[in-house]
Amino acid sequence: MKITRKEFLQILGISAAAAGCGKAVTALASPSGEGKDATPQAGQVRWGMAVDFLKCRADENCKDCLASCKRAHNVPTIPEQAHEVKWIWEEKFEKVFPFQQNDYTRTAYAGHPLSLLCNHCADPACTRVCPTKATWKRGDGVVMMDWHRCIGCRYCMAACPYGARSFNWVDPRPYLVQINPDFPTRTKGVVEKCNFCEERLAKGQPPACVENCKEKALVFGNLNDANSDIRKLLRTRYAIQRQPEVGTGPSVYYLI
Amino acid sequence: MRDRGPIFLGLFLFVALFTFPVWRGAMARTAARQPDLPLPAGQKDCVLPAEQMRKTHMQLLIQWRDDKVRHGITTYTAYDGKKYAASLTGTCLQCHGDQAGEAQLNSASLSSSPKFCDSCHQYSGVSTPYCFDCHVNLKPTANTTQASGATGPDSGPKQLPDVASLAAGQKGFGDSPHHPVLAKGGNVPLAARSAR
Repeated sequence: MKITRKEFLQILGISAAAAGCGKAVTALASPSGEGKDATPQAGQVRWGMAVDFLKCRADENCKDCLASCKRAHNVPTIPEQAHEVKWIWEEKFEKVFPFQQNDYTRTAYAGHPLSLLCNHCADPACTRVCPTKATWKRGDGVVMMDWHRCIGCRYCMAACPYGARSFNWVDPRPYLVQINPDFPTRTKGVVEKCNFCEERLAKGQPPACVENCKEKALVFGNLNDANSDIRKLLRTRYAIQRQPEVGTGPSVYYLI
Repeated sequence: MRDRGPIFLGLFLFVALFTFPVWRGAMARTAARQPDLPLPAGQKDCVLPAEQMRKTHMQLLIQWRDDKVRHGITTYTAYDGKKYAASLTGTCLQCHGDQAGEAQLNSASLSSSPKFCDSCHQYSGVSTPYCFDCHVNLKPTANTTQASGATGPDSGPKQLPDVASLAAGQKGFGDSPHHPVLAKGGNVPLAARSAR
């Protein structure tokens, strides 16, 4: 069979058009953007926490939440500040919310410690930058970490606006006072952070810090359930998030 | 060519000495000593039959890791229908761990792999597993054979009602199906312990 130059060019043109149509169809049909499950949906779980600053302020020497987290997750206490590993930690109010005070309210808030932890954001910056998918957002809102996969590049630490992530500069084991064999320790060279006690959630238990807070200053629950304790609190109390303007949508609220 | 005698004698001696380990082993007609694996007292079954465990324990460990960390599947249904918590320290070391009782904090044995792992890995020249850089070589505090019965040291009796109900109905939670490779019996050649 002989093919003319004109016919050849026609076939070429039709093939190119067909290939282009295929591309366009797949592009239109696939859901746009990543992090579909990051947006809260009705009926889906989204874990969140509320920290009652007024209750924390009433007993500033109480460190139950910090201690219970360290026990539950084998978090080391490293004296050198540059090597510090933080899951839940304390910071003075004025450092956390520098614009939430004026001359007259300063005495009520400034100087009082506040418990900080990973915000388990709706749209986390840390998971976007991770080159190995060692950190990702689960369907229930928990920002998870897979330490098997972490290569220690610390991109996530640079991305997190809240300083919630810590790098293991040294082997943490010598700095542990007590080892909980039910949870692994970490090794030198990986990044770690609060995991919202996902290992306890899997068993149907609330996070260790929430359970060990005698004052019930930490309230944990499903943000997507309008009747949950946390939603009831958020309806009645004035609540603020850390740096909502950066657009990550934190799941941890502070009641002030 | 008067040196022929000493030259051939020297050559013969050299070859004989050089191949000494080979022919001595052949003459002795004995096999190398197999690793001595003590079976845990009071336990008859592992999560897989022993033969498959030898071949495919590494795939099983990776399956457990991915199921638990990535997919939230915390229980593994064994071939005989028994359910196990997918946990290295909680399930495997319950039988194969070295230390019993309280943690010997900062002792070297905490970070070293159990003798059970080491004996085979050394025998077959496989590098020592580094699992125990993070996972503690220690028997856990609670009996974690049943996943639901596992409790931490600081876990109280109370449960958050919505946590309990929601976690149970969570997508991705459930029993682990059989791993395709493991169910077929594995495709990894057995380096150590080949038939004698």
